[in-house]
Amino acid sequence: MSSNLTISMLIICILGFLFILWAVKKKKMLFKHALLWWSLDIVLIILLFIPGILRFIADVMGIETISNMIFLFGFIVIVGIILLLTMVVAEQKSQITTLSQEIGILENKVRGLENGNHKKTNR
Amino acid sequence: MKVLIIIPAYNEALNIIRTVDSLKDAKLGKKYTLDYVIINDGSLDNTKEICEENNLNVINLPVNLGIGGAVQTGYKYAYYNNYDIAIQYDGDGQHDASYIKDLIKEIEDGNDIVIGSRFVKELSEFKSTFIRRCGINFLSFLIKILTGKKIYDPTSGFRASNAKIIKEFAKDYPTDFPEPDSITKLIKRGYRISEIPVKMKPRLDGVSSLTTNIFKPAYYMIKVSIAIVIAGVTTKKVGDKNE
Repeated sequence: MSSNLTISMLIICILGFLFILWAVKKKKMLFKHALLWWSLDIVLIILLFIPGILRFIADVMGIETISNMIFLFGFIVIVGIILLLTMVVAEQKSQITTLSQEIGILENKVRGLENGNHKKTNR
Repeated sequence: MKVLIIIPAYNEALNIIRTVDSLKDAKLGKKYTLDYVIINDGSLDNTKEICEENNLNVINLPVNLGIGGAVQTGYKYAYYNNYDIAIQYDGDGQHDASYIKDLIKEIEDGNDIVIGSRFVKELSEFKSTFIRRCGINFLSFLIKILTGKKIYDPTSGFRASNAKIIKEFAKDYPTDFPEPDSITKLIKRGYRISEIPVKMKPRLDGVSSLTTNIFKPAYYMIKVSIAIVIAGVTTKKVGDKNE
């Protein structure tokens, strides 16, 4: 791998690292998600300096070209992250549902108290 | 005995007063107190204003949760206020309040949940299309295979539950088009279910949630079938129902 490419990739990785740091600082990202991205970033940096690891894994797995293997892993990682995010969405939806229901019930109760003589529909 | 009628309403401004008025047809005995609660599921029309101007007992949900979330709100309300029986009753005027006492009687006879069914005995004059009827028969068949119990009208939204089921539903209720899904779960968990024949009326005003788009019924069938299969295969019987 040419040193120019190594340097530019390193710069991208560092910028990525700093961007995550900024996002955490500005509360645009949860710390636990930042850790996930940082570990990915660090793995990339390690591979950048020891490319032999990639060759080794490719040989073990019987993949001829390293680039194919990188695409494969990249794809798996991305699908994994999307799966995680859909789970987060489901959790948030159920939280929003519960919140809306409780707000509705509370508002009904408050209106009943304000009206005082509320219908017998409330205890 | 405290009975709560849960009326889910989404854009039912034209029907809601008529629906609440129709509850007087229930004609229950002295030992019952019949209350109702309307769940206004973030309606875009003036359902909210109409309910409040007429001093109807309404819970206004701040956002649209869909039928499952709306009905569950009613069960939570029933649970918090210690109701003995909760009855789902559609806000569009399709259900007939004179059957409420029959539903209550079935609960008092020891059933946990009672379905007001359009298809038990050929009593119904409910105008249903052939396709819709095929769909309901298919869901019925699917539930029979998975649970061994024949439910003639699993999609009926006219149902009564006792305090045990109210508690179950307050904790956990399926999100969209929830009736067949929840029925399967309850049978699997070992609760007693019965069905009584009821007549239903055609809608008076407004549009059904299932006929606005031709793809919706197909999507509904696929979604509900899968949900029933998952519920049927994964739900375990409760060890001690009296916990």
